[in-house]
Amino acid sequence: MALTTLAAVNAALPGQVVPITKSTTGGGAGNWYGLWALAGSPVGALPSSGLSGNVPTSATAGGVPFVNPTAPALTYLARVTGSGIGATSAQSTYFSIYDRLWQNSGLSSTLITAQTVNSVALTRPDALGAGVEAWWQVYAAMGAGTPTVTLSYTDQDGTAGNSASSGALGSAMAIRLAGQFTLAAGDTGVRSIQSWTASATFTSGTIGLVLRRHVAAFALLNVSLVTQLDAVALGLPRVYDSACLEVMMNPATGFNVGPNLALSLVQG
Amino acid sequence: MAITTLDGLIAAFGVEGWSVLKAGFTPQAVGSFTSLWTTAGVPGAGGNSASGVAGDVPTSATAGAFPFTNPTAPALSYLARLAANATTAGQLLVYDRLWQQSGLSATLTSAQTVNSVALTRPDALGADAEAWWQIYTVMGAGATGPTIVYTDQDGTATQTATLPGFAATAAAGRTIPFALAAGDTGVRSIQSYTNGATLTSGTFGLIIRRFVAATWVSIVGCGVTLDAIQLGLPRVYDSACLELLWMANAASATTVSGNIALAQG
Repeated sequence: MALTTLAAVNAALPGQVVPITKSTTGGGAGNWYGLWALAGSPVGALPSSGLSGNVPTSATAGGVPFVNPTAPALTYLARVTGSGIGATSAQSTYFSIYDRLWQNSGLSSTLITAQTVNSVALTRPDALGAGVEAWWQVYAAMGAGTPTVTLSYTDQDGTAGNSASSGALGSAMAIRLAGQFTLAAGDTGVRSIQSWTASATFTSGTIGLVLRRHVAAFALLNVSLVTQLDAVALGLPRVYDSACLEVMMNPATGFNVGPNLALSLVQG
Repeated sequence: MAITTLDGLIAAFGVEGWSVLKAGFTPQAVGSFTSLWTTAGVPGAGGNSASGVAGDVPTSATAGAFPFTNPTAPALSYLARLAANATTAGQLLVYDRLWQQSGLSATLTSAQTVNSVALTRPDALGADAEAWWQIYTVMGAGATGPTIVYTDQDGTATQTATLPGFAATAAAGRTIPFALAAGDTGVRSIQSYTNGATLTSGTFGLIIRRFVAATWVSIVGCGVTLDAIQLGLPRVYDSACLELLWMANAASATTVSGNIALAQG
């Protein structure tokens, strides 16, 4: 069964209301920041699973905990309510909710030869990788290098040996900064990653790879205003069983904010 | 079947969605349109047309477009969500890039034959199809805008369109819509192109586009998400070549990020 009518969505609300609160942080306009390990609730640990990585779930520290439905019921994000913490002016910050499908650690920040990744298989909703995005993620500030990183990956159709590019990365990238790789033309997802090659040394820092699937996006206004998106505004996105929901932020320059969210997960 | 009820829309949610990231482009002027077709990011950069004066019909499989899977008939595709945030204020527009071409001279002042190949989405008739001037590399100092001779949506030939927004030394990526003859609502085909005066240098092409949707960023960091109802549930035809345009409110380096999603049913 699935939620296919407005009446069914209404009957399923409010569902499981799960909070996300992160401390105030800022960054450069137009840049994405992963709030996985930022103080607040929930707080994730830095990945330590090595190059081939692991599949975090809703039970992983940092993932938003929720209870899976009883089959055949499914889970959807039906409402987001929130405001910005620490906002000091009539600005707002843009946030996205992602399902953190896979993460790794152990990449050298100085090697300029290919580093084998051979990511473990995805699980949500399957191992195929449709709609899956590949991201780099800074865990400790990087050095002065400005390499372009190329991934060798297998796409959503199982075609191996495709190349994805980060574009030229900036010098001294800050903690939490993240960016999406551009996939080969025509590709719509990443099934697995085989290798990482940096064109130059970063000189220092800690960086990892994350595979994510987009769930929702919205702006939060300043601290005195509450934003609410309903099921239609969100597009009633599916949240797969054991999804590891995390928050990404795209701030305005010089504007420090943290999200204070309540997600309504409905099941039916 | 089509999506004709709110329940039908809810049942169709979640088919396909993509992140959007177009980084570091600089609009030439406030109020100008910039095509993000060749801007690096997600989706990856497309290439300027090299198909010659008669042009070609790009699709969702063309580099630069959002790749999506057509639904199984009789289901149709609709734009169900459009979210955008940016580092400058402006408007993000989604178009279906119906036809593109290359090979026109910037210096000839006589009519240059185009005879565009037939449109395909949703048919060859051209209802609501817009003609645009697209800069591939920066233009010279020519002071007079071009004209095109076209066939309108009803099949009336030898109509003339002008370019009232023409700007000399237009920058790469800038794109300007032609003004059609009074009463016309679309372009079925383009027969010829004529420079009003020599443009002295530069490369450019003609594009035929159909508007799909638009959202905006009023304040930096204040992204806007429009849902299916706010968008008017616009139809996305099979194999549509979805392209992003930016209407600038600042002539400074801009990065756009966001999300776009389809519903099929």
